[in-house]
Amino acid sequence: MEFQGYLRQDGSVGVRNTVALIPASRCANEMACRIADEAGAGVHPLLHNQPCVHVGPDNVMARRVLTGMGQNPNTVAAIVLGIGCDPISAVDIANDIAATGKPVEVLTIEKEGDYDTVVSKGITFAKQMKANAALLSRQPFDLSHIKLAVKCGGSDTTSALGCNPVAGWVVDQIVNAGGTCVFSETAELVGAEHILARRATDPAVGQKVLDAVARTDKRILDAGVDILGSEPTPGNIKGGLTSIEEKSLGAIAKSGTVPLTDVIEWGQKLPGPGLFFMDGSANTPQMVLGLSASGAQMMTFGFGGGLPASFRSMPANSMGNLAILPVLKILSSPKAAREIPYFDVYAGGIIEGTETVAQVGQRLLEEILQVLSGKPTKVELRPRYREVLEMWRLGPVF
Amino acid sequence: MKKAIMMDPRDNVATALAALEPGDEIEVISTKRETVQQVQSRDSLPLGHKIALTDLRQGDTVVKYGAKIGRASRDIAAGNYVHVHNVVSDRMPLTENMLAHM
Repeated sequence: MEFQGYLRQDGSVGVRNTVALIPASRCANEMACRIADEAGAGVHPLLHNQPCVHVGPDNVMARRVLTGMGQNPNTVAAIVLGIGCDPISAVDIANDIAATGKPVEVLTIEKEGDYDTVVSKGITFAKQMKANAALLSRQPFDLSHIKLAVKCGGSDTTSALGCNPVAGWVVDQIVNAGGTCVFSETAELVGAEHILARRATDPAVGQKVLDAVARTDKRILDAGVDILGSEPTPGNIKGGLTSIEEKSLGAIAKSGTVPLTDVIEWGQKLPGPGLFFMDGSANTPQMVLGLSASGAQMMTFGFGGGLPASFRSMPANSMGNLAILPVLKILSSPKAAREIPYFDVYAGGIIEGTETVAQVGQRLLEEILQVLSGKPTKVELRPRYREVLEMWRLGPVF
Repeated sequence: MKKAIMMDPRDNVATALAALEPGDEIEVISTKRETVQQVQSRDSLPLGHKIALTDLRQGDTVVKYGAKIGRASRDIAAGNYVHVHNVVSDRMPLTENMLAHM
């Protein structure tokens, strides 16, 4: 089995050729939008909410993520945009991205003299980068070159019967073939952390899983009782999920049965083949940002059958503009069968008794290989909208 | 016959694969689709929600996927609907405010 991708200079394999406009701070978001409006299809602003007033460790995380989005193999070339007074320097971000060997430009108001010069130069650079990207051709790669992120959302009890075991089946195939898979959402390990920890090849990695959940538990408790009872969500409960333990046990099914290789930090680059857990936010716009910065080429997103399955693009998140991480949607519940046309893979046959997990898994793997080879997902075919990506922060906001 | 699926042999609840009504005879199947047992439903519950396979006393552990998903907050009889009204999480108990939404 193989897929068709673009070999990058650093050895990674891209599956899309996105010219990324990366604002060094949120103050540069507007310039990124102006450039994208003029440069047209294939040029995307990666808007985010990183302000001037975050404290140390949060700025470190933000820099890692802004750099990581530029280094993502789906970014064919990048323009980093800044004001000049951005706390995370546009030049530093650009230099880190350029280390991968891909074309990078940096434009700041301070250096160029004014806003209009940044925008007009940005349009010229973006059009040139787009033209150069059009000359690149795809070549075949085997499963060991896949970097797949897996996520579930809008979960109900059918998620644990449909999309999650199906995604887990695919994770097993990819990891056993030498590929890489990653999943995240530390709060959604609560109650299932002991089971994931036992899958770690190295006991020290198992301890990292337990420590990550203990830190999340502590942060929740430190915040007071109001946040208690936020999981499962009202939508989850309507779908039959009774407790965070039940939700977590169903959610980890999407990571398959292969050993856990390591735990990585939010936005950290995937260090090698295997299965990785990213210790990070369970807030979708933040977790998706972390996964895209890890170098994942695409993400599967499994749904139950509740109201979130009726969102056309993505539920309550920033996928509208995240052109560097194509998302393939899986539907689990026969109750939401009317939404099948908006999903890439329907797993409800498992619940209806007409298909097995392995049969749907095989279909999902084939669809993933096609999407990696350039077939647009249902979400990619929809008109894009722009939303602002959210940085995860652990420090105070003031 | 309507079906419910038991995710692990250690479980004391099963997930309904169809909406259930009181009096329905339910065939409980394993993940390998083998018939494990039968149970008569005592309540109405939607597809995907849980039904008790054995009698549980208040405080007993509720087991799904072979692992604990909470404790019975009141006595539960085999065939009863099992959800937030009779199960409480050990890790993040729901607040009264959340329960009021249900």
